[in-house]
Amino acid sequence: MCAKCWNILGVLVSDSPMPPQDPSPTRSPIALPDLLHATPVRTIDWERTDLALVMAFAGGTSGGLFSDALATASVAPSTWEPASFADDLFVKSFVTKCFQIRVATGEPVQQSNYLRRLLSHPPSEPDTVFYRRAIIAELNEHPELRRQLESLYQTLCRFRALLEGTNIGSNWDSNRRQLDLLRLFRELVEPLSEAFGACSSGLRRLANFGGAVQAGEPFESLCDLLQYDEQLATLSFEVGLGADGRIRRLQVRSIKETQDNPFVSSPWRRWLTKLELFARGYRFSDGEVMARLLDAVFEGVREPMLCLVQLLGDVEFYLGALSFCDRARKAKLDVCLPELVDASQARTLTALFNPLLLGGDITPIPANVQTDRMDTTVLITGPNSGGKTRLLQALGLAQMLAQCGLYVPAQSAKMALVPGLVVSLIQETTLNQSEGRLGTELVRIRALFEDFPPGAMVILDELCSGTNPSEGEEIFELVIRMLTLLRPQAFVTTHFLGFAARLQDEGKIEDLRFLQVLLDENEKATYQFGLGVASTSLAAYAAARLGVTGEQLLALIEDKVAKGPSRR
Amino acid sequence: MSLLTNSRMHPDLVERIEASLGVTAARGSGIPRPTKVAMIRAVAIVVIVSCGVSLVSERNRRIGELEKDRGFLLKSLDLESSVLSGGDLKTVERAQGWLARDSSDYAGDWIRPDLGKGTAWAEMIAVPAIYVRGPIADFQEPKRFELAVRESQKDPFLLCLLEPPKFERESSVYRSVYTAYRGGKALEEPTRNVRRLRDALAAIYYLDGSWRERVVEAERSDQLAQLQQAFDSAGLLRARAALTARYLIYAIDEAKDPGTRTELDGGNPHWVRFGIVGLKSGEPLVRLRRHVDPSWVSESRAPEFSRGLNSCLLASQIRKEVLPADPSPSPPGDVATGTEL
Repeated sequence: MCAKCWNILGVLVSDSPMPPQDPSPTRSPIALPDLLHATPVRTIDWERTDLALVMAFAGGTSGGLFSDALATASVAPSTWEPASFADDLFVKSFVTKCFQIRVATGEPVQQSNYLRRLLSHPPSEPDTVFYRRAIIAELNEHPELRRQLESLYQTLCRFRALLEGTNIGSNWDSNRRQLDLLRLFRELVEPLSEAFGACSSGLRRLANFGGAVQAGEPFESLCDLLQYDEQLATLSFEVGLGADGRIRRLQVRSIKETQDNPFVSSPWRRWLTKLELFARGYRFSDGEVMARLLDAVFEGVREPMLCLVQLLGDVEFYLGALSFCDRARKAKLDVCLPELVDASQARTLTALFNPLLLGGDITPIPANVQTDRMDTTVLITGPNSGGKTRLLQALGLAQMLAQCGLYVPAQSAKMALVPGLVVSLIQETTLNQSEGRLGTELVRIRALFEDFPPGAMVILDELCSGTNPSEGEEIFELVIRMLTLLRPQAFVTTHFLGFAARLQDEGKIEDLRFLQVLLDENEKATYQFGLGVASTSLAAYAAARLGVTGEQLLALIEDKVAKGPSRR
Repeated sequence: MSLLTNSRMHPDLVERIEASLGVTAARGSGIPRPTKVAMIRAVAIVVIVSCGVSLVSERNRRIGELEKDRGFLLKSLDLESSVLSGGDLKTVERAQGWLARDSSDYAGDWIRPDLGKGTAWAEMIAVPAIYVRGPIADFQEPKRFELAVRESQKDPFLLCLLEPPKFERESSVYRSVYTAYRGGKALEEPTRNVRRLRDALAAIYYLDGSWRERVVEAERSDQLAQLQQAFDSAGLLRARAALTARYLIYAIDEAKDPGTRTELDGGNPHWVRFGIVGLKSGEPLVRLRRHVDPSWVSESRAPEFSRGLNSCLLASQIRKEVLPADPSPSPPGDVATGTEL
């Protein structure tokens, strides 16, 4: 076990905890290659991950280092509460379906939980949002940069696999594995400066990180050690072949030992070193000498290695977002980085589509949504299966992605940042719920007003549909009236068409806007939305489509009567 | 400082390498650390080296003691050998030659004429002599010679030869026989200048080069102790005297007469060859062949004493033949001043 492991174990089991020691107090800390925050932040539990890294490097543990570190990693400060929208927007499915990264070697195991947490916690700091937007935009605009990032990601995955021991066979040499890890680390660090040196976005941090690591003594020592392992000496041979093609003569022309490598020492010194190690309590072997050198070199690059753990999550965030763009383009749908404007300006979402439909049987149909200002309450009416709920999901996901600094599912968009998002779609009835459908929704409405920050976005699907229309309309009006006082960006669907028309006609609620599902000449939904209130829910069409007209039901009954009673 | 670092390394790297080596754990954590391992190894090395040194010193001490004991034993051997001449060491060989010769065809009776005159006999028995008696077959066969010699003791024949009974009556002869069988001072005093050939054989065994080789080759102190014990119990003083003997006195029992019975003690009618030979001069002094018959022994003593009584009577009669003018044995003279006839 390496020296550091002993130290850490000593700390863990000690009766009197020792203060953690800075491994290199005189060395300036390496700049974090943080791609998620405008100001670099250590998101992972540094000490815990450091211990896990040391143990993993020594081979004392396997598996879960990266996932554990990222599972407990902090995310950017956010005013959004995931419980208010994540389930209703199917964020988990969205990540699984749309953020799956594909690289040349296949689909690596992603930190889906970490990605879900990142997406459901949009940063409240605008600088961070713009920081991310700059990175994703640069990656999207420069395919070469993206390839470099994918290459970095693949190497990171190999590094993770080797470190977590997922590809270790039964016969493995601890020193060899550690040398391989150091070699992979070198492979990770060396291209960074060149690959990302010209970047204008936060990607430049990768170059800075690579440059800083390479400029340090630990990395130089690492390279020397790897060279010592790979090329202790060079032998030149002269081979003489006979007429039959067989080797007749083999003569060593020269032997050149790599003398300038600080790890190279004379044979007698190597033997004495083994003796010294034995006297110090280690084994008498060449492997033990290498183990001590590995330990010292690893100690020097431990901190940059820790940065890689955090970097993996960051890279997955951007590559996942780019994968989403790829999927949209494959479906001939456009994505864009929205223009972030003030809430008082007009909202424009051109060719907005529901990303949850990507990859499924249903092809998303883009729709335009436009309102004269953001901080209004929009009542959406239209026929059943007219796309109202899908629109609400698209609006919610677009807002979430925009606030995360990522591409949104629209050709172009003008959006305003909001301090929160509450989504209440129609909930399925569960066995253990104490209230009925209306009661459950009223509880959610109560919670909405308790936690809802002013100016947040609210998405309510078929508000108060669980009771009779007259009472439902009263509650509906109450909620809308109270909600407007918080100046939200609200989208509410309803089938109370008359009630909606009355509100439109009366114009008592100033910030109320109306969108309706547009119908074609055959009175069928076009999945497009325009201003106004729908005149019909087209329930008859839906009933006819699903076989629930009077004639259809009567024919069904007559047929059953003619066949007689069941012989069950 | 560590050999892992060198002047070509960046100071920060050197610092990290040294920090990597100087690992410390929290106090009381109970976690094995390289430093602890190093201490354990150091203690183990000290213990192992100490044990090694102790073992080596103990081994050296034992080797020293072994060599000391070996030297003492070899010195004793040398001391014993130093007083013996080359001729002395051939005493047994010569005796065996004589016995083999006189066990074959009998060359006829012979008594050196001057032996019975003056003090010749007395002077002869005053110098060291060796005595042996055994069956003729054993002396004829070299392989059985050693066994016969080992079984030969000072017996009534030797006692009565040197100190004959006053009368040839059974009771008088019996007293001499009884004295011989009882042993002790009563037997040793009259026969003090006579050693058994067996003693000479034992001396040869120890003073021969092969036994010395065994001493030299002994690797363990217990082996050497056994050799030392055997050497001490060998009675080499007595054996040395046997090797320096000037005369060989022997009695060779021929096979018993055919058809005769044998007493429990082995007494039976048979011929006995008697001789006295000068070992240094190689001259026979006496050579006689006489028949013995225990039929004169009373029935009460016959089972146990036939052989002894017969031997004593035979010795007494031989003595009369050799010393017709001397009715009683002369007192023994000084061994050191005795001269060979």
